[in-house]
Parts: sequence; C-alpha cells; structure tokens
Amino acid sequence: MNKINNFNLGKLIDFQWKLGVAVSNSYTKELNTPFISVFLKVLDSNNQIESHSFELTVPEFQNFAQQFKDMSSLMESL
Amino acid sequence: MDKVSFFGYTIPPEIKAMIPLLGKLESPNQTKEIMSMAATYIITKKINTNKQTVTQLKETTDSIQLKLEKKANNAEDRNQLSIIFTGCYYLLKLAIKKRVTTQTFTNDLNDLKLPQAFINDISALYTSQYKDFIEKTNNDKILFHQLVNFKWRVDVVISSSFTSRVMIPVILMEMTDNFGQQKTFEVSLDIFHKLRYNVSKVLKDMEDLEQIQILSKFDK
Repeated sequence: MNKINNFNLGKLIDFQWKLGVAVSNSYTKELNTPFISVFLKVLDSNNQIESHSFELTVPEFQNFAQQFKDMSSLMESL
Repeated sequence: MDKVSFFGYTIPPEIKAMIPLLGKLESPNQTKEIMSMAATYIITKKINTNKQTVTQLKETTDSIQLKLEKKANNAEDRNQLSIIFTGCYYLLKLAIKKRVTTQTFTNDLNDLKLPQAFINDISALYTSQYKDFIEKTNNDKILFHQLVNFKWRVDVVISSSFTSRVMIPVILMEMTDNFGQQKTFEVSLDIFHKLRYNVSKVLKDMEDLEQIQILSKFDK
C-alpha cells in the first residue's frame, strides 16, 4: 500500500453525492430534470485540500457509472 | 461682481493658455475637429474602469494623438494643438460639471473674448452632445463591482450520501459581476425568506425616498 503512495498524485479525502430534481429556473417554469451532484475533497501534491464539485445529467451519470462498473469487474478479474 | 462664470472666479490656466492661440489658427475647421476630439475623449473616459473601457480609452487617446500629430507641421505647431485640445477639454468639462445651459455657456465664453467662430462651434457641439455628456456623468460614479447577471434554479433533493428520501427544496443562485467574477451558491429556504424580506424592505425604502420633497427637487 505504501509503495503506491510514493508518488503524491493527490488523495481522495471525501466523496459525497446528491440526487435531486431541478424543478424550475430563471428561464423555464417546468424544468423537472433529474441530476446528480458530486462533491470531492482531494489532498493535492502540495498537501492542500481542494474541494471540487460537479453535476451530471442522467446520461452523463450512466456513462460515469458504467466506467466504474467496468473498473470494478476488471479489478475482480485480477 | 454679480455673476460668476461657469469656470469659476479665476480662469483655469489650461483655458487661459488656449486663448492667445485661438486667434492665430487660420482654419476654423481645425479647431472644430479638435473640440470634437475633446468631446469624444470626455465620453470615453471613465472612472470605473474595467478591461473593456480601458482598451476603449486607450484606442481613443491613441487616435487623438495620431490626429494631432498629423495636423501639426512642426513641433511648435504640435504643442499649440495640444494646448487647444486641453483648453477645449477643460471648457467642456467645467460646463458639464456645472450643467450650465447653452445660453450661459455662450455668454460666459463671450466674456472671455474668444473668437466668434470658436464660440459658435463649441456652443453647437455642447448643445448637440449635451445629452450624451449628462448621461455619461450620471453613469460615472465610483462604484463597487456591479451585478450584471443573476440566474437561479430550484432543486429538490431526493437522496444523498447521508440521507435518502429527504425531498428538501434548495435554491441555487449564480451571480456574475461586471468584472466577470462568478459566484454560485446554495440558499436554504430559511435564508431565502430572509432575503425576500430584505428585498421587499429595500423596495419599500426606495418608494419612501420618492416621497421626500428635497430629493425630488434635485431630480430635475
């Protein structure tokens, strides 16, 4: 485990998500679009904690999830 | 003395320096062009600068300098044209500051014993550009960053990494200022109600302001 941490490429400190529905916005009354928000905290190479957040639409999330599924099945095949 | 002219008790040195030169210039067209350049300069110059206005002003000053240089035959000539430009600029600037009428403007210039053609030209310019000048000075105040764009969105949280089936409404807001800085934030219902209260309060206070007599007098 320590071998891999020899290089400080950033470390995931926190991962949080949220599923919500955008009901309306400044342009449209009936928006009703689901989305996923993800909040990340990463310890970068300068030992600083950086916060990032991003939002995914449903198709974007499906693609995202599929890649994690692929990663997971690859790990299992090892 | 019964009346003070719009440029004050003493004639500003910038204007004084211009007076003897005006008689010397042969073509009235030349001075006409210089004064219209001064007017452009006044309109472009801004206190509250962002990148766009800075480049705009730089372009204007560069083009003015280029034009002045082109007109001048020699270094002495060039110097004289600069003095006239500065004089015109001060005349207009002071007139705008006091918001004098065209009539006062012309009368006060007559008292200075300037050439008649010059007075006619600059008065005509002052009248025709008056609206632009006033609009420009009204917009030109020292200000904080200003809000230029505001977007919002209402979300309902269904579940998250901590809770499921929460169904809390959340408001997302995004503000952009005139310097291009953007801030996105979430507002809870609680805070939103506080915001709503304060917005209505400000609206009411502004309405109350209109009732105050002394302010409506200034509005003219």
